[in-house]
Amino acid sequence: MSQVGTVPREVPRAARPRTRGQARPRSRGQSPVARARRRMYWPFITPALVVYVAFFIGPALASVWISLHRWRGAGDDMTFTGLDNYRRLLDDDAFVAAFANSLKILVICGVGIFALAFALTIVLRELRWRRALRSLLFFPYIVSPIAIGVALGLLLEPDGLANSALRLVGLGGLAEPWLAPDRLFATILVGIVWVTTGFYVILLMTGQERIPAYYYEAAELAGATPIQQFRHVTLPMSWDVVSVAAVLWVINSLKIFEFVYAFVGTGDSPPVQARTIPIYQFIMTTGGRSPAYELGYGCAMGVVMVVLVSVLVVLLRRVMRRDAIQF
Amino acid sequence: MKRLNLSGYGGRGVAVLAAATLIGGLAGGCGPAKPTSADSKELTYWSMWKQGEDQQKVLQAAIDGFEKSSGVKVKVQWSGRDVLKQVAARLNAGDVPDLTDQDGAAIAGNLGAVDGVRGLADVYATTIPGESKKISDVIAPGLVASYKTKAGEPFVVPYEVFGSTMWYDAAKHPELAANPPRTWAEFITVLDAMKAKGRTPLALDGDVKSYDAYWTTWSIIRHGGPGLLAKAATDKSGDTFDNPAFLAAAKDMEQLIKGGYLAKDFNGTKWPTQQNAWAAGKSPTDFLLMGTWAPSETGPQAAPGFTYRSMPFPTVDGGKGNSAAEGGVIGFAVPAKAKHSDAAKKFIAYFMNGERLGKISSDAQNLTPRADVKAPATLADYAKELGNAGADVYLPSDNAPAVAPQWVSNVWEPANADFFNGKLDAAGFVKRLKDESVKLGKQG
Repeated sequence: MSQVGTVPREVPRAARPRTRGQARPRSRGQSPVARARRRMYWPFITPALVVYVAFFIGPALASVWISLHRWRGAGDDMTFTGLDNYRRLLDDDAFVAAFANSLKILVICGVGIFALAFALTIVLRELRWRRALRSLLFFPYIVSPIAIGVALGLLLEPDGLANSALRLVGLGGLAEPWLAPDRLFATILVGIVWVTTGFYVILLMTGQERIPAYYYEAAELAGATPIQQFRHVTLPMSWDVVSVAAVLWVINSLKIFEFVYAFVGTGDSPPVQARTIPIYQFIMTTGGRSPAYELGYGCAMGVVMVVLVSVLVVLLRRVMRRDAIQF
Repeated sequence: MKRLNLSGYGGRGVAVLAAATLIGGLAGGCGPAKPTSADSKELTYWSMWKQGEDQQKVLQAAIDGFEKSSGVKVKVQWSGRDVLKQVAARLNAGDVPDLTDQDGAAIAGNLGAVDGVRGLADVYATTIPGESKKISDVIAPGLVASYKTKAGEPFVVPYEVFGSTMWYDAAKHPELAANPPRTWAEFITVLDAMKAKGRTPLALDGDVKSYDAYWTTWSIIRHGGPGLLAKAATDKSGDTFDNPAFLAAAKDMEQLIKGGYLAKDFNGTKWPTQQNAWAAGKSPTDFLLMGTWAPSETGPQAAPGFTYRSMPFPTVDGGKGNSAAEGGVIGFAVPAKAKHSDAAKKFIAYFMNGERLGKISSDAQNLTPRADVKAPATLADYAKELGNAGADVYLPSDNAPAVAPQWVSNVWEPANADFFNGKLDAAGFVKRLKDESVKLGKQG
């Protein structure tokens, strides 16, 4: 525990009690409760494990296997093609573009979302109606992305609300065909930030609200500005939440699919400039206007995505590793 | 309103065939099922229509009549447009419905390609209940020529026909109804006259890239004849694009794109904004190149008095496809592993009766494949166009999405989008198609 009135510092790693590597206590010395708990371990864990293996591990391994084949998935046999699908991914401009787009969403929207979320966290802490405001911010996240995409599409039409509003206030020069192919992806990026920020604000605020108020009082007494308070109190004391939020973003951002689809339109598959990996995967397997039914190729993309997510998450966890602060 | 609504799906099914073709060689493993009992008392039907659609109502009425007259119980499921994905998923398990329906190309791609459908030669040879003619007497063989099993039997029995054509409002343009422009030069003259009056005569929802491609495809068909685009789509050498028809077509398109004939912001709006604005008279547009579902799809938005008429895409000098019309079908298919295929075939024959099939025209406002069933008024022009084409009918999108879906998604449609957005000139468009086709070909 830190003393009241001082900003807590991280507990040095060496001071952390070590549990890993210690010999496991034998059951003989355990209390009856602990023994019962051990006995119940497998009965309790098995159903979850079975479901997890059947619906996650199994299909994931199957994907790796299918990715080594050419297969259309409807009553036909698979042809083994080795690593051909992976080689093809490297040569496929459309996939490279989709891969780049997914990374752009991850990085550009990620920076936007977290910058906005941090700023809102600072501002909202001071506000009286923060719970109501927070709900309002969260609102876009709970509405179906399809509905949002369609609504934004209407809003951003050449004569839609956005441009009309700009013209009304004399800023007609800024009116743009927001959905024109060259601008579409940028508009989508902004849309994603708008829709997603609320969710991360909620996460960060939840972390912030666990921090006892006296840290802030003390910081204020010490003359800290809201930004300094954020830097020295909020951020270090809710670091675990921030790091979980960051991992969630990595996973969610690479999965983005329906938002882009809805944004692009009801009648067509997204143009190459706006495709993400999952969208391209969809088009090359069973979806879009001209589905290719290349299930092996689609699985190869899935494997690449899982590897990408895993690498990014591991890296992020390493970069963001701090010891939890007790308070 | 009824929606044939292939706008979102038309190419989809077609598309599938190509993937199928890629692995076509190994598709033989899934042979036809055992013969079924001679007299099934039930059948399962999974349909592409959804509850409440006009076609669903017409089919439901026929099912009710069929159940009464034959004593066969029909277990129907109104699955919607993705029905064949559900059927295909069941192919492995063997528990398939006895009857299904979709766009012919979708049936070919999803089921035909893996030998998942039965040949229906016996159905074609059946005398239509209540009539003296056989089904083969009333369905033009050309409509189903592309949809055959390895044994050469047709596997689709069509009950609707669709295609794209050039729509306009005859109430606003009686001069077009009286004397439609027939050649490209006449067409441009008409467009120029409209432009001079401050109009941007061509309506186009440019966010749907295949709608851009309607124009290009039609122009390639007119210059080079049916089948050229599909050939180019599968030509790994790219040499087919050296056929002068491509550059000639691209130059005609360039004339439209750069000529200021296209609706303002056509590529910055979302479908169906432009087609609805055209029908409602809210944009200064006069023509819409669109599928035969245009009247039903835009009907609710149409201005009072709007009279749907259509004319064929203009012909070109020395064009090899000047008499061609686009024609696709929606029809029934019987999965290979169907347990009650006899009952399914009986229902197909029952539905092909002129009176029952006629409701597809009278109630659902769509064209039927039977020439002796009167076309709905809005499709009379198209019916004539199709009839005049005779055997010169080309499949939707010239079947390119069926034989090369990846090419369509990654080469053809993006190039069309950039062409229509003014990023490519005619020569640049053809060059890009060729270069990227070669590149895609190398990927295997």
